[in-house]
Amino acid sequence: MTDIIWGTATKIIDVDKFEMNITHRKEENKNSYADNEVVIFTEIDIMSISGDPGMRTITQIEDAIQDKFLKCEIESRSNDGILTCKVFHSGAGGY
Amino acid sequence: MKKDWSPVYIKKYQKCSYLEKLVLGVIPAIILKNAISKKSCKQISEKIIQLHQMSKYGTNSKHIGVSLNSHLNSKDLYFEKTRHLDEKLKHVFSETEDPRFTMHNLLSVAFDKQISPARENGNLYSNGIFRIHDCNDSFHVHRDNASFEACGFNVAKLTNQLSSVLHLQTASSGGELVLYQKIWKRDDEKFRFPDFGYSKDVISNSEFIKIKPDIGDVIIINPIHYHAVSRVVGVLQRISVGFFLGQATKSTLFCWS
Repeated sequence: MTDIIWGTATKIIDVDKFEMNITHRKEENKNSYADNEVVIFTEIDIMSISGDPGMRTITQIEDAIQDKFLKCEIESRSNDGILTCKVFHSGAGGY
Repeated sequence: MKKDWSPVYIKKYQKCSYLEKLVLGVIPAIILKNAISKKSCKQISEKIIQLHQMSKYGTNSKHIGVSLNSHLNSKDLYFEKTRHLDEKLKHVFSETEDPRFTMHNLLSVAFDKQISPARENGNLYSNGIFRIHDCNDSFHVHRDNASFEACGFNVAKLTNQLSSVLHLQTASSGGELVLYQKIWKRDDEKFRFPDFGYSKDVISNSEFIKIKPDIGDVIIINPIHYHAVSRVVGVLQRISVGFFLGQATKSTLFCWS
């Protein structure tokens, strides 16, 4: 089972990298996650972000995910602590 | 409970000059009384229950209609489902009034603005969604904000989003609209639940009012205020139909759900 965390994107670092404030963790997660993590995404399921990293700008990423509530499926953690994840919108704040 | 934050009540075909106050949060709601007769509400409710039972929505489904927030990453599917359902509802309401269009007309008169469905690249947005709440159902604290949540859709560019809900059948008890004076801000996203809505921590110490809907009333709120629906009690389902409105120009509102 893949580890899953949820939280808000607090700072966009690059076109595939952001800081995240973690507010929820799946109960069955095998690993532990700090309240703040750096995430690199290999895939992002958000309509306004191009699947091709070469087509993205930091401004586009900021518009799409800054302060947004996201779900991250963890693929790995690098030696320097950065998480590699698949990133999705999560649920809805309203109808 | 807040005592000096009270809804404004208007009658059918009455002009209403309180829209700006609603947008600014000075008043919590505008309630258009007896917008549709109780007899029509009963007929519409029966049709909706029948359609719900006959459709493939499944027993867990609590709505008939298409919700933008369920399709934030699937625009084509949203418009395809909307087209499909609009055809179905045209048939359902071929001999009786479609309450969504009656609401458009009544709100257009009340606010002296043109109201029409939002469009995007030739596609029409959903005209409204019927919601069915059974006994023990409730809706958790949430807010609605397409500008923040639905970026990538045209309706995200509209301003002053409002919510308009017609109550077709009310619960025996409960099923009240709980409206908090607190307004959502971006930093509140840390209170989000993974599936829907927010932790109650987000509205701790906030003043609130409770509105018990009457059959046939249209309740218009500024949905950036946190709101919830209290637990429905009794055998009667709470049935409503609603849509959002957003301002395109001073004299034009577009709607969607």
